[in-house]
Amino acid sequence: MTDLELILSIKNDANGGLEEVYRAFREEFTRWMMRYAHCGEETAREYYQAAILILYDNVHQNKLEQLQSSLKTYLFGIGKNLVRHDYREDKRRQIAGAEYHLLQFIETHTQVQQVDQIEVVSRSFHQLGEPCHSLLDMFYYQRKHLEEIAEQLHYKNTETAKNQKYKCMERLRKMTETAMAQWKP
Amino acid sequence: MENRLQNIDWIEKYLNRGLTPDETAWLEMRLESDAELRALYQERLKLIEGIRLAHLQNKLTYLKNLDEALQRDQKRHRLFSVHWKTAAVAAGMIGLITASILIFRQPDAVELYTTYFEPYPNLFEPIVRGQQGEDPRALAFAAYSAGDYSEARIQFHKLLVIKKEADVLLLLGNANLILGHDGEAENNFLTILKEFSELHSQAKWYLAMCYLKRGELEKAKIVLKELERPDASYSEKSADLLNQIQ
Repeated sequence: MTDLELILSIKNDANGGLEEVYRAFREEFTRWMMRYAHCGEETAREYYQAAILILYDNVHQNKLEQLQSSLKTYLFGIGKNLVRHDYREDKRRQIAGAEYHLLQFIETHTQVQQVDQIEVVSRSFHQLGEPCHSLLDMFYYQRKHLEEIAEQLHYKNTETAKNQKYKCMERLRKMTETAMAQWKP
Repeated sequence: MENRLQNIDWIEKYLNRGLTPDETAWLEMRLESDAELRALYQERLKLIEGIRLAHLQNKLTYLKNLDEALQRDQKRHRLFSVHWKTAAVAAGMIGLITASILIFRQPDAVELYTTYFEPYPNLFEPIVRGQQGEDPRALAFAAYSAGDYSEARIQFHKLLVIKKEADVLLLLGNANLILGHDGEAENNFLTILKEFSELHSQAKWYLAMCYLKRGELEKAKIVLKELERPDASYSEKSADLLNQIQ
């Protein structure tokens, strides 16, 4: 597959495309990372998973429409940045796994002022249940149009889907508020 | 209420870059001067970023499952290499007659199927304990993950009546292979190849497994050769298996 085909497959197909990309660079990246960061295979794999997720997110945020380098160079570049970031934050380096890198990535690329609350929203979202979970994910992450969502989730029309979306967001907001109230000392 | 809904609409269009330059300037001006609107904007952004983080966390779980499956494959590959070397030394010691028998012996397709077949893991629908409820999709994938292939097959059939999806077909094909419905399994994999643009490598690999199970070595070879290309996901495994067959 060419780079463009790989990018399109990530964008159009949630998991099949991601699997293709993950398999494509896994061995080479891991070997390279073990040398570059002087780390073990397990740590190198954590870096790889974080780098793949950042690539995946950038594709979905339409940041890769004009890729200046090859996909491999871009991916390895993400890996280098993750290692540099870890060296700067030396104290936290020991606990750095893909989950940590993911959180760092979101927190440093957002306009949200209270970044620590993003994780609380995420926890509430995991508990939201269906159909709200799918509906909000399709609309806000996958950026699907309401027409498509209405068809896939069997709503009567786009207006019904839109109303349901509003109700689901309200439910998520309230769940987050409750979680925040419990979380605060 | 009406005002809040309208403001949410404006904010969402702004975040999706769906406003004209004039509308954008107007909203940005309002965001600077109107504290209530600014708070609503921050709240909306926080919810959307939380959804984004949750989506990526799900994908991370998916990647970790995938990685475990790949590691299992690698271990089996290494184990096979060791066995092969041991067998080669033993064959040398036994002598020419035994060696010639080994060379001219036709590989046993079913044996190869048993060695190489491993059900495709459920990487599509993360199973969250207690969240299946009555959702047929969650029930189907949970049954598959639990190894209850009969139940999974029933639920996958129900899903396909509503909508044909490649991931459902792939796992249904696997369940069919395990349960002995080989003809249906073949159809499942062929449907993915004909009607979808995704999961082709996986469908081809399991189609080859299906042919092996039925003893159709030549058909399996044709499919495996397509997978042997260096850029294909299953190239290493396919090359291994082709060596065995040939």
